[in-house]
Amino acid sequence: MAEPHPDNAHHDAQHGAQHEAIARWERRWLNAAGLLLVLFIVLVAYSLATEGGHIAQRSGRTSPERLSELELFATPGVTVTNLGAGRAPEVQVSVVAQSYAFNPAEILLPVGAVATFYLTSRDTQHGFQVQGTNINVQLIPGEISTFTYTFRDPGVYRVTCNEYCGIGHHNMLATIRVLYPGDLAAASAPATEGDAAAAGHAVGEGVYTANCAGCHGAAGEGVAGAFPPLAEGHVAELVAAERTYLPNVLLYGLEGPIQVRGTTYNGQMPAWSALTDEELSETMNYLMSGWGDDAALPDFAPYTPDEVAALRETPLSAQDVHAQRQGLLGN
Amino acid sequence: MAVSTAALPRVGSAHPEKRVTLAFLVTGLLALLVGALLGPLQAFNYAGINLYDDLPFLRSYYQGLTLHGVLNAFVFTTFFISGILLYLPARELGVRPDMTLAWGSYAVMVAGLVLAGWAVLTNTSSVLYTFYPPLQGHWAFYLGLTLVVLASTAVGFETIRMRARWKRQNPGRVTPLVTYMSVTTWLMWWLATTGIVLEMLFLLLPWSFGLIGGVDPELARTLFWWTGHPIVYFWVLPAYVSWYAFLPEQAGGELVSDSLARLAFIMFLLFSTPVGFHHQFTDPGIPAAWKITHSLLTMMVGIPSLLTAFTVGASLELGGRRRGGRGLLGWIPKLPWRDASFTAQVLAMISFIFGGAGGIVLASFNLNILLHNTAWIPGHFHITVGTATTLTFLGLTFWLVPHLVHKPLFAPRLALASAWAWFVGMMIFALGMHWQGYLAVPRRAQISALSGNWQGAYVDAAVPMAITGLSGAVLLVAIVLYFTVLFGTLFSRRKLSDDEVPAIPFARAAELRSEGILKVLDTLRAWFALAVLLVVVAYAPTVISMWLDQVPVPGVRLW
Repeated sequence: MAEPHPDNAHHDAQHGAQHEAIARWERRWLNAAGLLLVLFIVLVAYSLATEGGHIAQRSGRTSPERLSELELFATPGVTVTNLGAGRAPEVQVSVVAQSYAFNPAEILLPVGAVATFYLTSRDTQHGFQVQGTNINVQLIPGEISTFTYTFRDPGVYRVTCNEYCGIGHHNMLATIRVLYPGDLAAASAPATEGDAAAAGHAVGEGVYTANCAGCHGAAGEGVAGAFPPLAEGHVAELVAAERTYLPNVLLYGLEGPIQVRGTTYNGQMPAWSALTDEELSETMNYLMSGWGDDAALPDFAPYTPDEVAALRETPLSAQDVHAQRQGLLGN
Repeated sequence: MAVSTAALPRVGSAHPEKRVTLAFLVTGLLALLVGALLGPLQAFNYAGINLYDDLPFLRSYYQGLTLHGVLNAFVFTTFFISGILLYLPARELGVRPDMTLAWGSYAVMVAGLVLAGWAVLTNTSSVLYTFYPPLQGHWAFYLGLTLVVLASTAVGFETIRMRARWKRQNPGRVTPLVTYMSVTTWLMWWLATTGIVLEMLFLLLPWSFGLIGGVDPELARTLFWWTGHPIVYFWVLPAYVSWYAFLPEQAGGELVSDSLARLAFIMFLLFSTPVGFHHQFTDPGIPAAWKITHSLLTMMVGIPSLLTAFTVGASLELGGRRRGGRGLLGWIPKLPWRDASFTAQVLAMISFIFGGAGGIVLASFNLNILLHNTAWIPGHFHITVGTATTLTFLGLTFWLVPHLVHKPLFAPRLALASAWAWFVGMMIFALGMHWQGYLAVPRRAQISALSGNWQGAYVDAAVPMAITGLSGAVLLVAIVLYFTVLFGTLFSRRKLSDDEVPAIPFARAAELRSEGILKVLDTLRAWFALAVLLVVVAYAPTVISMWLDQVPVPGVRLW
């Protein structure tokens, strides 16, 4: 067994010279390493001083259940404060993240605007990273993050959630469109052509695509074991059995295993009460009409915003909704 | 199990600590086998190829990713390190560890593995390696991880006690090098684990048992990264032990500076832990001044690694020249490249040059913001812990397993091939992932299963995605080759006679500074106290104010 013998160092002349050379290089190396790190630190400090300002800071704290009480997050989106006033427009952007969508899912900004962002999460941790910029913020329930950024180039920027937030995490994306003021007006104007039903359908489809398709699939096909299918008449069955169930699921979420046609699904449904009454009613109407479920229920009367508003009066828990679900369809 | 063999002469079979070491090593390597086999699936995902949804035994990509991260980065490393950092100092000192404590720690660690493994396999805890609340896993997951951590600190306790015993028997002598490095690593680990133990005991365990209704996610993150950064030094320092203490001997040279090795380890003890905020630069809840403080301290940790690069590099050069190498670079081809153990470890060191450079980028406050939570991060840690550490450990097993089981290494050329395949695969993987991260592709996302409206979201990253996919195939080959060699060795029917069993290749130290410096470096109690002080200064103001101002958030299960 070769035990170490630190005391038996070699001491002949050749090795002595070798070791002196090594010691000399060692000092040079150490000096160079120290200088290198000092250089890095100076470079970091320099770029912070010249281009800093977009680094996320805490703007405040709030418990996620009380988000809607804050004016900032009651209706998230873009507020332009002085567009066309002869100087760089100032914009306030509030964003609420929730598995698996950002609200709003599309942010329209005037080019050159000084945009101050306020972001938070309603449920679990998320990320907010904007492609091609150095915007990258951790969204933590209970924390409100803020930073200011100026978009100088028009274009479409991809926003990704870069923190794991559950099974649909990879489909949590959004877009920022930076437009010239003229294009901005056209893009933000509500659709005026077509009848009200078509406009409602577009609202429902938009909400579904942004918030629901990540789990339930673009065509409502679902994911075995986790997220039930919405197509194939399943929504029609539920609506026929109990009309209040569907709005309750959307408003309050669902927690616990359910059975659909012999298959168990056990993914958690988040609560979507942050969406408006109209968005929720149009989404449900889209679920009925999007894949032909309404054919199975010819006398279906479309949901109205008032029905949703009425159900907001009696708050339920996700477990309560599960209990309501268990009473339907005989399972 | 531990039959008393103290009366026998000191030959291999007379070392009961060999069996407990083998148990730690083999359990860790089995975890690596399962964890690593999931790896190519992750690589294919980043090439847009979704194989996860076809696996019968896993419910989702994220369950598989949880298993991959926990088994490789947590279970494999902790078991393996507990084995070697107990065994090597014991043999260096000629001291026998307390076998009851050693086997007891092993049993607790296995119990922890079973609990956490059950929780992940039943899909109750697909919370990934970082288990950030408010995603809420099963209590068995948190309890299991806690047991693994506590058992490892007990192994550290025994190593520290062995040094104390040796010191009493050898008053006035300086601690031998391997023991010195091992004890310093364990002291650093004690300091590092305080964060995660606080997180588990006060937040996650009571929460998962239903005793408290919610936890503050920002506080939990901060405690997690208190441990989560220095854990990378807990992974890499045992590799440094081998690079300093064994590799020069394997190269035919000697360690050029014993005291520089010790200085590097002292610097790691001091600067490994008070740096965790550099994982939280994008967090809103930490004041910018503290983020910058941790950023500067992180730069300090670069110094001992640069020291190591010099000392180990010079030791290898010395070996190459003793073997007849001439000229500026002529010593390189003279090194024993046919020796799988040597080659694996040198390749591991080469990967660490790139890993270290990428790490400096991440430590730089504002560059980090471009890369935080992108594919760059897994690219980075697969050439640090995934290669610098893991490939060194695999290289170690090429002599250590034969040394422990008294059997010859199975198919040494396959072993050599496995080392090259691992290195090449990981370097390709790192290229693809760093590049994707630069293009803002998020980390740990099932981008191969984008829904209709987002398909094509990452089309700008098609080239690096293809590169990452290629690496998955190479790494699959590396895994098959390595485990063929390992199992071939373990189950070989050939026994080595006592004089054929490979000895532990302790390297001689060529040069010694004055005794005075070594004595100062040997006052580990004082250095540890200084390290504790630095952690208190770096963490106490932030953690205390977070603790007093918590906004608890209820748990959610979203998988």
